[in-house]
Amino acid sequence: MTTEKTIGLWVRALILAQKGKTKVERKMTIKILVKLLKRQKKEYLLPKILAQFQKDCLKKEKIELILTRRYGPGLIGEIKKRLGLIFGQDKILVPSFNKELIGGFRLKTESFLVEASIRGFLAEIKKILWKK
Amino acid sequence: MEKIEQLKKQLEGLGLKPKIEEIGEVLEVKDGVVKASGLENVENFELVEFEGRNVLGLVLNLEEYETGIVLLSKEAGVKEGDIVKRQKKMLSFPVGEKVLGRVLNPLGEPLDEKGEIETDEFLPLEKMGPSVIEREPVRSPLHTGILAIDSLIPIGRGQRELILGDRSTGKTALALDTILNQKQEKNRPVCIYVACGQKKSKVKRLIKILKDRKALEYTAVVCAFADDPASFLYLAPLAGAAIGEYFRDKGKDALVIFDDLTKQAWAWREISLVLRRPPGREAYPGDIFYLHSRLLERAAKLSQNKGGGSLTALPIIETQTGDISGYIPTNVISICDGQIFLDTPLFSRGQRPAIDIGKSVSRVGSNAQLPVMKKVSGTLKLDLAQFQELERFSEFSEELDPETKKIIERGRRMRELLKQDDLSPLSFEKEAVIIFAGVKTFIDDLAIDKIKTFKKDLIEEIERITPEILKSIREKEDLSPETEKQLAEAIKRAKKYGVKGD
Repeated sequence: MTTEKTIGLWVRALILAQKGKTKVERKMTIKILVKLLKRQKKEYLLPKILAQFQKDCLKKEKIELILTRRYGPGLIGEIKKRLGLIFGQDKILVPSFNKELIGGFRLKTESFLVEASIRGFLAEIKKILWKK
Repeated sequence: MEKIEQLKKQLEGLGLKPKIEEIGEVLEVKDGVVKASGLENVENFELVEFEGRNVLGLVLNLEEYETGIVLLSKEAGVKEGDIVKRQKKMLSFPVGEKVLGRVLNPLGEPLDEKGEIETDEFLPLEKMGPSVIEREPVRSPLHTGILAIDSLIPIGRGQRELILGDRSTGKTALALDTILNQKQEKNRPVCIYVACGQKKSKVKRLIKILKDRKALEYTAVVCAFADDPASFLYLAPLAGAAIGEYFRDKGKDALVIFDDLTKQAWAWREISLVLRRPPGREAYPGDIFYLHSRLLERAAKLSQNKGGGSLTALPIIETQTGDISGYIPTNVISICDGQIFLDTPLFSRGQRPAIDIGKSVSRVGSNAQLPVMKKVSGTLKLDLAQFQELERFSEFSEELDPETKKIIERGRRMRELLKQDDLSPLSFEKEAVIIFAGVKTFIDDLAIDKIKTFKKDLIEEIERITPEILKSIREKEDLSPETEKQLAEAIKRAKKYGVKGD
């Protein structure tokens, strides 16, 4: 098995092991991981596993909200609250700004995208006209 | 104003509302294959789009945490982190009458600069072949216009007849002659030529020939060139089959030529190895047989309940050093309903088409022959087999009895009679006339080097003096005793005046 695949498997195992656990239990899970790696003489993989784990967790928990202009903290907070009700409070909202959207917004999670920008709408029109 | 109305119509139903799309993220791009995360509900063989790249992909691998996608474009520019969106539709191909006369790539995009294909009908590239109940036996002939094939290895409409041989043995020439011959056939089938992994110069030449001979009007050409991505080479035969299926299901006849399936096998091997599927024999994936069997099972003769249409397939396989016991050749031989084997030594000796009669067979046989062809070429194969045996024997023995010598001489003349120039297909009535002359021993007293001229003279003689012979054979599809007498007279005249005129 390649090193990348091994790291991938450990990361997935860690994600599954930490699902629904408290902060203390999660720390215990990491300690168990270190013990298991020592037993298999693969402690050198630990930094890579943890880095990949962090990356994957962020990917799963991140909700990217791309807006066309900067709004006040009050409005962003309200959006965070509403998104928390839909997706769960453990999600991390990452607002960003892109004028190229012209208007509207884009909301991106790990597995789906809500396209509600003017640019997206114009791209749709272009696609239809190009097709015909 | 008209343009504005047209635009309004095109944009009808388009509302300004948010769109929710299922997406994934590109993890890795390698050798035309992309690994992406996400896409949890994506289906196998579904189309996906890479955002902002104008590139489509085809989902081929569904793993636990990743999806394997093969790119459907040369200039992809896809990189890690790009968003990939589900299209929620299977890869389909434009079909219909508008496709005839056009040159397309496996995505249905035109390559002949004649504008878009204006059709509303699309068929999926992957489709199951008709069931057993939906089929009926192959009975009507598909004339290739090649003497040796139509008399000895007859092909029927709905049959799969494999053409195999080494490089430059005349496989494509045979296929091209078959397409050209359909011009003069009644109930002309629609022809589809799939160029899979061929050189652009070769395909260009082929298209020019079809155009010049006015055969392009009933032919569709699907091209996946040698420098196209492996996905194109994999999809091209499927696209050809989809076009043929459209006509088959409409009750019409269609002929599809896959030139050649060896390249498709190589492309599928390449894609499978990059997708990390376990390699089997000769590094081919385990489903290499299934790749060809599911493609060729789409060729069938449908029952009258289903319209009575047919799709005939002429797959081409390139062998290496004449080895027909290779992995891919044996696979496809077992799938098809017969094979035409083109032999390099025969080709070098000037026997063209270089068909090895001993190794070639049509499993449909005389069931797909017209009564006239059955009558004239009844014992021809047996006679030729006997001749080949005796010819080999004569190499070891100097003294031969007169009967053996006679058989050998006749066999040599028959072999010469079956030679045919490139791009010169013959209608079935002319074939019947020529073979009649050979089988009924009219050419036994002709010098072998005069036989080519005799064939030409005979046809000219009949067309000029007694065209009713050809007309009678064409209409009745049989040889009546009166027509036989007239034909015998015409042959004698052609021998007397035609040959002496040289």
